[in-house]
Amino acid sequence: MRFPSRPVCFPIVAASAMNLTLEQVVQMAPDSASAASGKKLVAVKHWPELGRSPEALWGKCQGSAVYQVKVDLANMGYNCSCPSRKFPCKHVLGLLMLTAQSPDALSEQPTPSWVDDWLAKRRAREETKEAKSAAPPSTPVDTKAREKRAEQRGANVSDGLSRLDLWLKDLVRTGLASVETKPDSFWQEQSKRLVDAQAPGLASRVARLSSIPRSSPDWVGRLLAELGRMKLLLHAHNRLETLESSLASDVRQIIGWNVTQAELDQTGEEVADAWVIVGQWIDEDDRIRSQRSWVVGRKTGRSALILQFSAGGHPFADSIVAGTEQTGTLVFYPGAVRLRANFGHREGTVASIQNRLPGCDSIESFLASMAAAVSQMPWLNAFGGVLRGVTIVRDGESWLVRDSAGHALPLRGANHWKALAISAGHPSDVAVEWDGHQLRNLGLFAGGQYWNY
Amino acid sequence: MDELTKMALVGTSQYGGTVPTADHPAFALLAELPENDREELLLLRSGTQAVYDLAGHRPVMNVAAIAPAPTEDCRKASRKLAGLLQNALATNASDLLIGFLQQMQGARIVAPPDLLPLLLDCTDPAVREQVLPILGVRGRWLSTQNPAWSWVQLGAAHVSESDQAALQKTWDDGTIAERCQVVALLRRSNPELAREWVSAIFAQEKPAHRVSLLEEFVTGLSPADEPFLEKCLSDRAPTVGQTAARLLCRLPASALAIRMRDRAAAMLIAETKGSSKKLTKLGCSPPEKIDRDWERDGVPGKAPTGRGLRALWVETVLAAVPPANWSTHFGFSADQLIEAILDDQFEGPVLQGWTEAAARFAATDSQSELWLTPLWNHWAGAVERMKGAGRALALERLKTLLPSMARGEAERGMLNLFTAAADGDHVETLALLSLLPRPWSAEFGTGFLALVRQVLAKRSDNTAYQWANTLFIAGRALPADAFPAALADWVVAEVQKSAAWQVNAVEREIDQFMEVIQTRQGFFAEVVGTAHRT
Repeated sequence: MRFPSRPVCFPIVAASAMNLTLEQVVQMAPDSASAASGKKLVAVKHWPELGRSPEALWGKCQGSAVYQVKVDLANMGYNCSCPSRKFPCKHVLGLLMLTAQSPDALSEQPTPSWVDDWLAKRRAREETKEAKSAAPPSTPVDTKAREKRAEQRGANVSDGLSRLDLWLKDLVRTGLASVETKPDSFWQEQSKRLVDAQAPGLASRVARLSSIPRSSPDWVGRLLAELGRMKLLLHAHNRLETLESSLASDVRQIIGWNVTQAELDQTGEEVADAWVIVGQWIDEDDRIRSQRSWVVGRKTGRSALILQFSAGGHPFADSIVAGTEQTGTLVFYPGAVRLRANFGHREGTVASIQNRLPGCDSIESFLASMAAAVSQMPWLNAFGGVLRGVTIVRDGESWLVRDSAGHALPLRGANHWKALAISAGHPSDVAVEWDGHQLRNLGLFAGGQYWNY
Repeated sequence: MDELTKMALVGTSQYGGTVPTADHPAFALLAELPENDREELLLLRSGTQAVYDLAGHRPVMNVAAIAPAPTEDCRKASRKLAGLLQNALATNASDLLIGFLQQMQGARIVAPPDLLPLLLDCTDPAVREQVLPILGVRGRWLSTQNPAWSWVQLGAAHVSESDQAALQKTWDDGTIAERCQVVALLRRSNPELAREWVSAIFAQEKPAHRVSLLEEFVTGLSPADEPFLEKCLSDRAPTVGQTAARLLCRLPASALAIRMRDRAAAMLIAETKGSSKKLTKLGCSPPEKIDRDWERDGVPGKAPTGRGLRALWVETVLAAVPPANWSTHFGFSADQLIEAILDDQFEGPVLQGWTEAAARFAATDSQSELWLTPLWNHWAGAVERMKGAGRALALERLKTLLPSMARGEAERGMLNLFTAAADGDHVETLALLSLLPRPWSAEFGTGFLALVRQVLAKRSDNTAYQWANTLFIAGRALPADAFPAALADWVVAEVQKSAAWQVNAVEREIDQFMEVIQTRQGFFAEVVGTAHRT
């Protein structure tokens, strides 16, 4: 019985644009177990066949069978022939980690037919999708039935909102001191009623209220502010027809009406730019995972939020990797402040960020952008972007982001040592999400490279 | 808390009067609202105020800047190096990690910035020792920002005045482990001050703490410590006295060392023959009883169950005397004296005492160091000759000697032992492997691997499995020069199906071994590459 020694030297080839860091690949993993399993495959011995082209990465992984793993560099789409229900699976993660750690392990080669076929199918699918959205619907729409459904939903929502209005008034009548000891079910019950009333967006807002009582010394003020803003929303809904169409669209989206693809095609705003995915975080809420990716355009300086949802362990529809940038078109959703967007069209390959991040040069200008946005859309919950040339500062047990003028905003969380170690007290570009109270640190560009957080 | 919040907290049903109309600019927007629906008004005013405040949020002003880290003057780690280091940190593989850190030190590469907090959080003292040199300017700067990382300053050999103030604080408020660390550190630079601090509080401490603090005196031990240690001999706790005695006997000119030498000399009698005074026999004759002075000097007055009291006296007294003393006293070499004591009634205790003394004094007394190899040879012979308890005892003696031996000597002795073991069924000697200083020499590494390959090629039983198990240590201890020998094809003996689990286990060990070697090889190659690139 012989154990052959494994090759440990790789042919040296030029590194391609796809140079994700290990941390970025780990962030793509659906859970920590998958990331750990992927790490175990970061050795050439597991990969009897490896290769890359300007369009794709591929490899055959020796598991209980030989699995074919492919990654589309145009949009970080991936596929593996293994039966895993996790996306991306450990084989895809392993291939990406191997590429991140030893780029030279994958030499440039002619694309094998199994990769070519897959890429061709993907391109064909994308073309079909585009053609489909451009073409009129194949089956005639029953407009009458649709109008009836919309009317019914409108009535349900109005009914649900009236009950919410009563509930809000009851709360302030009996006093917020009474909610201090209320169980979580107190909030969830009201949230479920709103789900039944077909107002899921508002239902999530109500469910999130449960985290406020006792969370800070000023929790009463914060809870009252949220209840007040909710009351303003109900007030606006009652006068929907008097609002500007963009603000009315915002109100409807917050309450829970989805913007359909057809509406997006009609009213969405297309903006072409080199889009930098400056930061991302995933909100794990029950069984629904929400991925919030903040994107800033290099030329336009415009901020966008790409929101993706997944349930039951399914992958997010689009591969959005923090710390990368890609040229393409973002389609912004209708609204008074067009912030939410989706990638409409992508060009070239996904590349790691190599230059400083676009964003605000002072905290004042960042807050001014926030003020402008809130003045148009009062229910804005969070505003993301980049604070350029700022330092991370520790103030007792809390942390601050400080700009060159000595202005600062508090950071959420108690451990920002990694950010301090990376920036070393020098100015750096920090990607943040501001919720009106605290900044969530999403990543930073320091020392000539992007660091995930 | 403003009036609106107060009203909401108490509830409109309890709060009399109208909804407060504070002088808030946003309230002008709500002028047309009916005053009679107090809840409606309260909620809308609160909402409007919240939106206004959100839009007009002011930053914290006049926040002081922090002094940034000075420029790094060492090489920076590549991302690949950082990834490998992060894996070693994540898997708690401290032995691998230590090897990596040592490689980085050699190439003057500093730790990747994002891993600094993880490295500074390490609690293993062995890892910390290796982390210190690769922290770089940035790491040391970072450690000053967090009190939890003060060990970076405490661990440095030099103690400045400001450091001393920090040490004093830890000494006053710290746990016993932290206070021992303070004593150890201070003993390196200012042993007198450390002694003053300890002696000032010594009487109030618990016996176990007194022992722990006293044990740190081994650092920077000098004749100046003798008066304090002599005082400790009279401590009411025997363990404290015994610790002080062990320290005093390390000072050759101390009164206790002289007393012990005299007591030992009275025990050993050499018999010579002829005019050339050839040594024929060395006899040991311990006293039948000892007085209280002996006990005060750390010689036990009672023996544990199963031990002879007189044998224990021989062991304790001889362990306190540098073995070189006997070469001078009798005029014979270590080999001759060891040979001469054989067959004496107290042969075992004498050899045990000498073994402990050789291990204790080898570092400070080059003449006593000469005793290590003869004693090793004696016990190694016993391991081969004896069985059962005697063999186990001899192995224990080898374990005592091994950490004090020079690497070359130790490796030669071990290779001889293993060569003998590879031809037989005894695998107990393999337990010594973990005590061998790392990294091994290439000569020992390749020699040992050849023995493992020899055993695995011809056997597939439990012995083969035990040998395969040593690859775990070898994977971490082999030097880079031995990597080609480690990565060459492995041949494992074919077996019947009944023993398949052993072969599977052996294969697994080989697989893991090769993985570790490849990881280390990759890391070393990256270290060399980084050094060449910058």
